[in-house]
Amino acid sequence: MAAPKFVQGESVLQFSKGLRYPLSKPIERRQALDRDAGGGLQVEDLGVTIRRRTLSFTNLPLADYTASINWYENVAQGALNQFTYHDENGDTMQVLWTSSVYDFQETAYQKFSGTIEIEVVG
Amino acid sequence: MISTMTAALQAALSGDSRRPRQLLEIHFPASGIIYLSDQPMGVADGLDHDYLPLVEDWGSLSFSTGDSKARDNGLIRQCSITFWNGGTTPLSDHFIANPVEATEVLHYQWAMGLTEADKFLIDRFRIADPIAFDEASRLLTLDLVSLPYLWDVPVGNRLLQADWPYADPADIGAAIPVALGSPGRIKGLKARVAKGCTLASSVLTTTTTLDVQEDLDTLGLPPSGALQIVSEIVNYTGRTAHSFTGCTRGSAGSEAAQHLRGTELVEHISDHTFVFCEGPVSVVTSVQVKGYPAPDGIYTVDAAANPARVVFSEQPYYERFSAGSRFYEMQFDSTGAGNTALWPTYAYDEDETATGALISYEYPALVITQTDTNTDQGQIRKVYLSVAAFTVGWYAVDRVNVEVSGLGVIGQLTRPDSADQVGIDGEVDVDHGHLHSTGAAHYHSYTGPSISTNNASHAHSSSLSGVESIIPGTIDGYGAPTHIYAYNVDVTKLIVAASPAGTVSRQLSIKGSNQGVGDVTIYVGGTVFPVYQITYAGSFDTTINCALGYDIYIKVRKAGVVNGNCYIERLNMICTASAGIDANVTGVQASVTNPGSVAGQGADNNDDPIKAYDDVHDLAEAGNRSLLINATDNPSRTIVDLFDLTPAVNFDWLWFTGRTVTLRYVNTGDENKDVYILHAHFQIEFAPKEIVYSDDISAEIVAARTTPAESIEFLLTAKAGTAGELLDDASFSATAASHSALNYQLDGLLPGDVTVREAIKNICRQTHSRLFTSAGLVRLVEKTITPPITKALIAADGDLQLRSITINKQPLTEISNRIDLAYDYDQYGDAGYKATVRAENADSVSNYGLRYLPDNYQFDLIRDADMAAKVAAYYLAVDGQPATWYTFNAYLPQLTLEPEDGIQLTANFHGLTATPLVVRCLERRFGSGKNGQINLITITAEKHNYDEADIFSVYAAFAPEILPTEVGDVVNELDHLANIDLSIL
Repeated sequence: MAAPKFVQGESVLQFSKGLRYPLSKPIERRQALDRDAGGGLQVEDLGVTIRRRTLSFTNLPLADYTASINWYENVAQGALNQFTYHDENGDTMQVLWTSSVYDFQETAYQKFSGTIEIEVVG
Repeated sequence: MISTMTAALQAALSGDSRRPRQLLEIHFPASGIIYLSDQPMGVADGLDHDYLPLVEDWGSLSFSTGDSKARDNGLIRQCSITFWNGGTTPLSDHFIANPVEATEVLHYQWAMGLTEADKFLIDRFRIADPIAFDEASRLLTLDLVSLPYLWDVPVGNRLLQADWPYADPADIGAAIPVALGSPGRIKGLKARVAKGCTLASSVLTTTTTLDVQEDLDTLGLPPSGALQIVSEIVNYTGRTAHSFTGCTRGSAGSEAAQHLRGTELVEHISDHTFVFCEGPVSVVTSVQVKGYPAPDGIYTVDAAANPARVVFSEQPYYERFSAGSRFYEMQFDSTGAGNTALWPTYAYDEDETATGALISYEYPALVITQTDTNTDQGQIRKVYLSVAAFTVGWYAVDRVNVEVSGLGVIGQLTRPDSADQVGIDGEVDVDHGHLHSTGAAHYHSYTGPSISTNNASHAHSSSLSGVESIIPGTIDGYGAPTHIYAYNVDVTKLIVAASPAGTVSRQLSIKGSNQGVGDVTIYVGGTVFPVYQITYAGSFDTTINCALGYDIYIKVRKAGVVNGNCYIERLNMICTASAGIDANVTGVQASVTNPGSVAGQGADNNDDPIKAYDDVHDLAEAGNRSLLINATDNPSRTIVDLFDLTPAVNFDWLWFTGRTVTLRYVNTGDENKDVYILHAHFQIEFAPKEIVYSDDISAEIVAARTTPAESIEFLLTAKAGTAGELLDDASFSATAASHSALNYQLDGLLPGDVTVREAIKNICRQTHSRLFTSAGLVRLVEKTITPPITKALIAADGDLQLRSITINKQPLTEISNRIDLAYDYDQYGDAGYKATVRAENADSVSNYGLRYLPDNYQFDLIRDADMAAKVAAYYLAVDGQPATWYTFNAYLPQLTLEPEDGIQLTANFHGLTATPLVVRCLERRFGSGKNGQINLITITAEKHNYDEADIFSVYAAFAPEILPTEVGDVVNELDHLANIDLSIL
């Protein structure tokens, strides 16, 4: 299992630790359902498929923590800029940082734990 | 039912599972078209353009009134769409560079997997102000409104001073109406009128400065020009604030006249213009001035102009009949053929001063004729033939018939009766102070009725004497008894010169006695003897008629006896002057029969005092005319007979022309009286025409445009600027055909200041039609009681959303089971609606009591009774009983439904089995990928006739205990349940 990596141009954030299990890769097919008077379903496919990843880390070292803050604030700038995500299998995809709040907690001395929400956009 | 949706799209939307998409095109005038949706779509998906996923919320599409049950639901559809307003060029930036009002938004329905050609235009929209931009959320919400939003423009133009600088200030800015069909009589707007003022003082015919009460500077009259005062035209060369100067009176062929203070002056212009309406107008007729027919020849009609107008060449006026009467004596003009009366002109010629025409047994027929053509002076009220007659002597059997050509004998002149006989003596007051040659008391003897005359200069009638004087001489015996010795000796003496002018006869009266033996011969004659020769043996007393024209000498010869004597005791010359009286008779007539005698001394042959020949002349002088009638057996008065000809004349002034009247003496009793016709004429009582000036002009209009469909099309295209291709030809044609089959036509005025939208709503209301936008087109449909069923919706088959049905019963306060539809609106006066037609639903009245909303049915565009009856029948069917509205949600397969479509609804749960309904309102609730909402169509449909069974089924299922046993009670109970959402049950 490779450690996740963020890449945008020259900027690279290579986490030193891998993701914490269980890994979550939800896919949402956006559709509207309604119950008609005959008891059947009326379905409208609204044309949107949403792919999200939740990246959970435990006990990240200070360097990873500092680098991830820098990425959030200056490179990705929250959800503003896309970047390339290299997952645990080495697959890449364009994503946006969708976490509205960066909140890694220091669970031990200079050890940080938290999650990052990203959404596949490409 | 929408027919423009492609089969592919219909199929794509019809399944239980579908992939609908909404697309938006914003057409900016400057920026071009921006393509938007709620998710990325584009060429790769089969569309011609890529769509930016900036739509956050599609909102819902609804009608502006918000009352889905309103039968004349509003024309405007509206929705609010929220956009993401971010990026390098936020959407809001376009509204800085582009006018919002000119930006058009097209909203499409589409489905994934289809092509560009399958895009279905939901509607066309404009963006309503204001545009709100939320900077915090970077969301921009646009309120979209459908095309009728643009129809808030006035129907008519206004009368602008820029176009009509001399318009009446009261009418400047007035809206010019639009005429449809035959609106009847309408009033003209005063587009060009003459300014008026009033005289400040009375003026004579020669006055050249006219003072007025008003401020002419304020009125704005030109420095020179022409004025009209009554019928006089006055040119003026200058003016001050309160007077016109340099006036030329009686200009333009008019006659200068005196005018009183307060008389109105108006500008004399030749283009008094009154505009009526926009058209196109085909006929302008029956022009009236203040309700009276405008005189022919003073106005022209220009129906083809826009607006249609009437132009008067002079100040508009009308003629009316005065309330008061005038009397007119129409004189006869000539003597007619067959006249035998004497002096016929005296009966009608006012210049003749004689007593009158004379008819009698010898001169029986007075025939007089009215030859002139008399102008129409007003309305004839009464006509009499008036005959004033005086009869010399009264009579009982003879008569005078009155004949009128064309009518025969219409009566007889009234005979004098006993009351007219004066049985007293009469004498002339001769105790007067005039000069007489005799200087002594005397009298005049008169015969017949007395005379009273105003002509002092007149001669005596027959037997007037004393016109010639005896020349004094020395002949023995003249003047006093004497004798002459005339034995074989002629004694000759000139006693009188030739008669003066005016003498008609003369007689020599001679009396004497012959003494002794031998005859005496008297020769009378001129210088050549004898003209007359008389020989007497003894005394003699004789009168000798002497011809005129020579001097009279007398020669006396005593024959055979020397120194015989002949005494001449009297020698008088009796002269008779011209006969006849030249007098103006004012009352009764008399003749003077006082024989005069030769002036001089002694008495005349009647032993009356001798008077000068002009004694009577002197009597007639002022102060000597008092007259006392003492004795006569003749009628003393003139009788005026009036014969009523009113029915025969029959108000026709031309009746008199050529009419002949004959007064014919009928001598049945052989009484042989003289009847003087002093005056005969037609006496006419009439209401004279009056001229009244007014700018209150009206006319009857016939406009070329009559049908509802073409009228609406005209308003949309010509007034609201809607492109013709946006009108749905098929629906307009179908509605026009339907209206034609019903003989529907509009006859009325659209006020110029109402908006096109209001006008259309009014037209639709009065023709039970409906205009709405659908699929980007403007559609016009006729509302019918039972429209054809276009779709059957069955709840069990999934055509309705679960638990979405709401049932509303119409409150009884809204129904009207008696309809008095008012129509034939008076566009000109204050009469309002001039006709009504009643339609009544007896069953409804029996069930619900009389429900009456008369104000709801006043239709000012209907003038035809048959159309009014049909429209009333429609509204009675719709409004006569309480309706029931069903509101439910359906899915996109029902997207093709439109207002006024007929549907069948089957929902067993609600007791509906193929219940026919009419769609009133369709509201779209848009789904989208952003909010995950399914597309829904909220349908409100109406069941016209209240059906208790429907409601019973609901009550039976849930509240059977409140079911009443009587229908009337059911209704009363249901009144309280109006508008209750029964779906909660």
